[in-house]
Amino acid sequence: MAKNWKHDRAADHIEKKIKDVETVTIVDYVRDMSLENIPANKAFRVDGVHLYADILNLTDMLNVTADEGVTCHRRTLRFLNLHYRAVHRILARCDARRVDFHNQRLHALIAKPYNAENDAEAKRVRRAVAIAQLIIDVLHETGDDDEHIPDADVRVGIDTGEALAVNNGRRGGREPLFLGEPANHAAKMSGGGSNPGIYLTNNARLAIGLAEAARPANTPLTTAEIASCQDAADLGVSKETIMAEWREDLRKNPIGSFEFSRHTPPLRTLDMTTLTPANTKRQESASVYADIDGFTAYVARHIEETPEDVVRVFHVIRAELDRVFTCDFDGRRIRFIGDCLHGLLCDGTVHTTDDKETVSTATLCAGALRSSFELALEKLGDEGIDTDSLGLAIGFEFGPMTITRLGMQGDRVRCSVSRGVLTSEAEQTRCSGDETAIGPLAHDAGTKAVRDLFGSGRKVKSLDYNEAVEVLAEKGDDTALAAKRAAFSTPAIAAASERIIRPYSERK
Amino acid sequence: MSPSDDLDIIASCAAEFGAVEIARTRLELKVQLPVPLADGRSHSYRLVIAIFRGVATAQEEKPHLLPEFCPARHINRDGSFCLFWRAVDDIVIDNVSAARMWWETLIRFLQQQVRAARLRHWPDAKGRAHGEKAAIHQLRAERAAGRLGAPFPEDLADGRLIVEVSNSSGHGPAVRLLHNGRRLYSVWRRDRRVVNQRQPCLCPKGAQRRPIVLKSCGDHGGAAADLALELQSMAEEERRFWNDFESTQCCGTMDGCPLAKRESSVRAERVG
Ligand SMILES: [Zn+2]
Ligand SMILES: [Zn+2]
Repeated sequence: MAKNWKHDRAADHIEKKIKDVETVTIVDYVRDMSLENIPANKAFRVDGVHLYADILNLTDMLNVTADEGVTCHRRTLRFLNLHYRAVHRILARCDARRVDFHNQRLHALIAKPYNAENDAEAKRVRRAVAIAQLIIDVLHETGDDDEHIPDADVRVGIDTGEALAVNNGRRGGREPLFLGEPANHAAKMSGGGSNPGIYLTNNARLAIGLAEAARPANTPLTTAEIASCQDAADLGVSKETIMAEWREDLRKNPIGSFEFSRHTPPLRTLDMTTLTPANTKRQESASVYADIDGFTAYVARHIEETPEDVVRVFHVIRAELDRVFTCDFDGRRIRFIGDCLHGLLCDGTVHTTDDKETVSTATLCAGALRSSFELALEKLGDEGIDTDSLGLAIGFEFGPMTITRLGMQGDRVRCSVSRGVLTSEAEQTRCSGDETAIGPLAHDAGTKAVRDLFGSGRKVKSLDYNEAVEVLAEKGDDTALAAKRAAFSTPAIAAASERIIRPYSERK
Repeated sequence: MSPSDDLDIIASCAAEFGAVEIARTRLELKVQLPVPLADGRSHSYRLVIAIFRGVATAQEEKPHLLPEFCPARHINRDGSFCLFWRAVDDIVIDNVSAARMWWETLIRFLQQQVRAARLRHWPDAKGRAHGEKAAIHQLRAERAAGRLGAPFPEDLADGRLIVEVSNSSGHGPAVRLLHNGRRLYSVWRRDRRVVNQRQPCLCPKGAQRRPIVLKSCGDHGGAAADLALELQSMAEEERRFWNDFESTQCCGTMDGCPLAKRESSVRAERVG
């Protein structure tokens, strides 16, 4: 069956999702509350410190071999797995909460000590700095020479303030997801440069009595500044202890080797809970990132007076994007990263991926995501909910992709990493809220219609589903032609929709 | 045939395209026409269809979903849709299959209008040039592109070919043909010939190991000259076409529309 998007199907689902969040409860997060299994219509306002740790040399790992082959992926996954496990130990020992680990980036929350305590925020930031340094030190030794796995170079970003903790949108997904400035700004610090070190936003710097920095992303904490945080935080665990535990754990639960196999498309039917290193999927696919543009500013605007609207807007848009990706286009959603969807699409057979069709499907899917996004805004607006200045930035790329789960047994984290995943994210970040960008490999693998659409800049404005189908079908793209034919049930209308017209203009 | 016979033929096909007849006089047919789109949306237009000098015209009863006038969107000053150029693409409604072709054209026109409104430009480059004189030059340019062979017809249809006038010399002004902004060749306007006749031909023969030059490649030198000059004349005629609307404003829904500029400045004044 042709994968497609239908206005009425989207409208029905959006209306249902709006009903889910008619009444929303916002609770200030305090001692002993659980952030697990948050209902869709509830959010916690959490005053805490957000820590992002980026492994800088993941890209090097992915590029050790000229070809992005099996060896390259095997080493990269082993590299991440070793480091994930070490980080897991650190966070558990230091009473910090892992929010997520996606690719090279760890997101953790330090919520303790709570605000009831004196000087709580400064204590949290110092604690975060001490944890950051521990991560840096440990990951500097958790490589594996025998397996050509290097140590990790780590860059940490830290911010502090109020964010909203909401449900992460996965069935059975216990971890919350955080919306708002501190999560976003911490990520900008960790992702904002190629030098290792610990980088605090000015917000976080002021909280521990440091002077504001003109360019905080270029101003790592000094050794002395870190040492004073370590002294004050007194984590009570050393690098040596963590290393010993990590080694002991590896001895008891060896990672085992990564074994790759293909999943018969569509990827929607892939059950991620069955994935382990020994059962890792690897195949040519399209990786798609769709990010709600302007959402961090939206949260900042609403978190004090109308946080309910943040929950409404987010719940409705996320659920609808998820539905389009999964149900309309048979894709495999990997995760939501804050307000951003990451997923994979693949057309073909058990043996081979149909490159062209996969790229065409990804293009149509990108259009559909935008159509649904716009429809969701319209319907939220009808309910009197502010949706001002929100956009959707979409990027995708094609290439060999991996899907697996890493980390400790019983607490495995989904992981889909490859050059294409990183490129698709980069493509998305070069888009504004009405743009869609295609990566160079997808561009080359696509039909001529796809290449013409995106042009040499590999980017197109305001591409919705109708436009994607029309513009690709016009140039003879088979996937789009099939979708277009399926859209018109009346033969006369189908014939009309295929007619080439040459309208004119008169002086009269 | 009388206008009313023609109208009968049009009306007889209405139902298969989903149109519902609202009213009917000897010269006019009023219908409600839902136009489904590829994404499942459907906009319903209330249209007046008339037969005028053997040609069927359609327009919105009142401008509701479309602007009342916009040459860039192929809507004439009287609100009628400029569905095709009669001189070349005329559809004479004297049988059912012609009527079907006309309905198909109308529906496709309305589908394309939705895309145009979103893109702020006509969705493909297949529209005829604006005004009869420009359209004739466009037609000649298309024929010249056809003589040159692939990829010229497609490049022309996709709007990738642009001309500009360069400095004059002893031969008078020259016209430059650009492909995606890159110069392909120049043509002496007065002599109607390519400036550098010794450049490799633009067809595959010019890309051979021992390329055939334009001058010696059959009709290709002449075709190249015609293509550039006709495109230049078309551009000039289009400019004149727009100048004729000097005092007219239009909807402002299309980027780069010469008539829309005044509209937006008026709007800015109103807001200020
Ligand atoms: Zn030739
Ligand atoms: Zn206009």
